[in-house]
Amino acid sequence: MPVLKVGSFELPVLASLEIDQSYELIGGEAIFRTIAGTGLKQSTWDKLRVTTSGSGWIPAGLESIDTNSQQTVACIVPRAVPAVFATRQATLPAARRGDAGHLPYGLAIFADGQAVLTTASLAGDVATVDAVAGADAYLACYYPKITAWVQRPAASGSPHSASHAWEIVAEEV
Amino acid sequence: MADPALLLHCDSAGYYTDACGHPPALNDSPVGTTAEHLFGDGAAAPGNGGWAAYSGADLEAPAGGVYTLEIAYRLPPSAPSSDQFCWLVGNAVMGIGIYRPTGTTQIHYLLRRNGTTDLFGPLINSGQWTRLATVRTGSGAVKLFIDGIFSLTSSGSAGNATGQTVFVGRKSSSDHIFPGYYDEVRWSPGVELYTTDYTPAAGPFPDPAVVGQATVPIDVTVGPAGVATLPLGVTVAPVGQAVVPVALAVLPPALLVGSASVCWPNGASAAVWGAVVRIDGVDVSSVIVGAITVEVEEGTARLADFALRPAPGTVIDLAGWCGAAVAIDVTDMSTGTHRYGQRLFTGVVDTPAVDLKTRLLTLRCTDDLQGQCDAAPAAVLDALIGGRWSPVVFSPASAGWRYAQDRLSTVAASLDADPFGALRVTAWAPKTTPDLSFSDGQVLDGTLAVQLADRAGIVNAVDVAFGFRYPRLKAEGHGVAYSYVNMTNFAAFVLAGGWFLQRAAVERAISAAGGHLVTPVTYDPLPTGNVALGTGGFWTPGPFDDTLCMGFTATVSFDYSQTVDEQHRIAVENAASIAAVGRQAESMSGALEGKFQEPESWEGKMAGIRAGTDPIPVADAATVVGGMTTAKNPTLAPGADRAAADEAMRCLIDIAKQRIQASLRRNAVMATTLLNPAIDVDKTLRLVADGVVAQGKCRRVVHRLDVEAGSAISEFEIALCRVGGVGYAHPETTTTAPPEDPATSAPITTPVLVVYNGGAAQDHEITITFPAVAAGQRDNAEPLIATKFSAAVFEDDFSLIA
Repeated sequence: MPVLKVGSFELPVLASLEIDQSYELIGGEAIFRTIAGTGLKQSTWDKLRVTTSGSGWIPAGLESIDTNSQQTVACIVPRAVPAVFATRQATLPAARRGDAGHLPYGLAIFADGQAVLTTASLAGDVATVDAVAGADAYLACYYPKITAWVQRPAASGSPHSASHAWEIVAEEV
Repeated sequence: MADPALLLHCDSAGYYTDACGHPPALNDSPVGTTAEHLFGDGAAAPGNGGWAAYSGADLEAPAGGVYTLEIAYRLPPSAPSSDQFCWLVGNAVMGIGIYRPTGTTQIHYLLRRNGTTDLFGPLINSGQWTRLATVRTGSGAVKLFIDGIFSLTSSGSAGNATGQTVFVGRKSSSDHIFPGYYDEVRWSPGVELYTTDYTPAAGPFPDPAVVGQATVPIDVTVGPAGVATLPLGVTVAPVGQAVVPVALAVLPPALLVGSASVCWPNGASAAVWGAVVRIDGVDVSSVIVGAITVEVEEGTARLADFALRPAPGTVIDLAGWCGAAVAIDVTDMSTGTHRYGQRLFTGVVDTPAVDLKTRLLTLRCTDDLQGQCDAAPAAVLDALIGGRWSPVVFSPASAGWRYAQDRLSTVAASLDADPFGALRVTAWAPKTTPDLSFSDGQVLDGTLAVQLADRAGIVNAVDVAFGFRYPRLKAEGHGVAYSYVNMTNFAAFVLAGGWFLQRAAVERAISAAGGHLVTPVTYDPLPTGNVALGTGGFWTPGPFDDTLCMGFTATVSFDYSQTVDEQHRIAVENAASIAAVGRQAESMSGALEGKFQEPESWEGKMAGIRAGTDPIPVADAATVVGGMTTAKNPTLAPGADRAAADEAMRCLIDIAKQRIQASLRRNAVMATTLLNPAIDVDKTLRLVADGVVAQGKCRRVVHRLDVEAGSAISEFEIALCRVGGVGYAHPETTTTAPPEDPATSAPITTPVLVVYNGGAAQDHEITITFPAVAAGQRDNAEPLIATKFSAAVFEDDFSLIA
């Protein structure tokens, strides 16, 4: 099971029995409508905002994270990049996890909708998904790891049910 | 490397000319020749004993200091040797010389060191050009280098100051002359150029560095397609560095013209844009927060607003923000890096403000249009704006911005600055072909608005009242002809005992009447011979006959002046607008007093001139014509004369025309589109959207860039003038000065009355009565001169479909 790491802080498993992570691209994006109704789009920069929330049996201890320094946030929800079928290769972003258990991997998609887990080998940022017989398409998946400003975490708990919930938001620098 | 203090190239342009600027004191006619040279085209050849001296405080190497002295020489072996020392260059403290023993081809080198001479050698004279250098080191020892090879050194001792004069060719008037040639002399006090062997330069010593600035006007014509090359050649003096800062931005033509914009979606791709803000050349874009606004309006300074959030812990120099140079560009970021930057604003920080709670530094910047105008000389503003100016209408003390505004009030145009801060004047009249067009596909929904001018603000007639006062010179010319006796009744007159008229009495009578003789009186003289009286007796001429006369003719003038106060009533109107909304008039006025000599003193002066007692001619006078009252508008002092009055009136008429045009172009259509840097107040914009058709000059545009929200828009306003409709031809009267009140002459109807009581029993007095001056000729005249001018306005395409 992937483990959330923020800097040197590692989230204990028992604090994250339920865990959700959402990705959002924030930044300048505007769609204007002309008199004719045509949509005109303007955009500037975009950055990743990662919102992680979860609950468990023990307190998470997120308060120890120094929110005044930039931290590397190693995420736990993988993201996928479709690979070129002929070469089974996809270029992954450099901001990804490379620690054991969180290495990029591949998915082979079949015509009937099946997805078979497979391995992927990396050369720099290019991932090559290992071939699976009969596959229609390949996906290269990775766990993002971003340098972010972490906002002060929120935590709550319920002694009656011995459960602890927490939420932490990180925005890419 | 430091510059030398003395440098002679010994070329034909000046064999003894110092490239460092010290003028030579030439003694005993030193010469040069083009038959010999090391470098360049000539060498010095002091063969007849001439020498040169150079003086200057900068020629001295201080005591204990180092120096380098270099010279190249050629001593033909045929030159006789003479057991004599001769010096090439130096002075009492330092120098290089040569000693040639008789009967040999040997030479010894002489080095002058602190007043003593060391002799080195013998060496063989090759007869070739030889490069010598002597260097004094910090220890006081003096070294000799021959053709770059370290050859000899003298013993060390403290070095004296070398003095402020360097001699070339000899070192004193008692030295022996050097019978050869020398070239490339260089004296570098304070510099120890050589410490070990070196390679002598392959060309002449480099001239001292010239520090300065040169402007290179560059004209580039680029063809419609392909690569433009800009060959740039810079010649740099051998010593020093040339820095040529050149900024070159290559933009796709569509962006320059405005038919495309980096903030516009490019086909099916979204517009990815960015903004670059530089303060004092430093890119601060990474600390800008919120929106950047650039406001442009015709005739006013360009303003920019934005806020910075400096990194926490940065020390902010609060006082240093005011006046910092600011440049704002909008760029294309579709490739991830800034490119195709287009300038939106160039100016300076005007008002910084700090919000302590949010730690935001808000900066309001301006392109300092007023400051630029204040700094521009009047000639520059004249050339830029054109128009008219008159000290009668405007204050002569105005300068800079005020002066520019005065001039601008006579032209239908505005003065502002372009995005790079350069002053420009843009005419209000829009171009026939619009620069940019907007339609339903470009105008953002909900942003189109139309604003129509109110009737009360319309000015379609301006009544200008101008008074010009000046004295009009007049002269009444009276021809007087009188004869009381002639040869037919002469005898009878004598027999009756009549008295002849005295000439003096005539002149007394004329001056008693107040008239002035224009020319001397012509008298009918008495007969010069005996006249038979018919009674057997004769009348004989007497000794006093030339004081008498039988009659006279004279032209008498009365000179006076009349104050004329021309009352000009100039009406400048636009007939079409008057027909549409009625006459809405404004008034303007002006006055000028023409300067001439004061009428009273002028009249006195005229009297003196007519009497012949005043030899100095008067500035102006009416020509006397007998029987007429002649009048003349005199030549007045410049600045307060007819020309000044005419120019003042032309100014007022132009101001009136501009007033009418300005009041009729207050209609506006406003709309917003995605940001286009080409939208500017010098452009003609055409808008056809949502039933509105408008084509006119852009009067105002506000660019708003919000990087966080991702939106970049331009809100623009088109100024529209519409009276008769597109194609309506307004009559225009060219601005000319209204006519002057003419100085007319009038005949004098009443004759002069001469009464001479010459009878024996009468009082023998002559009385000459001149007619009185008519009141209308002398009283203040206030002629009313009414003129009318038509002011045309341009017609913009402007219509609205309900």
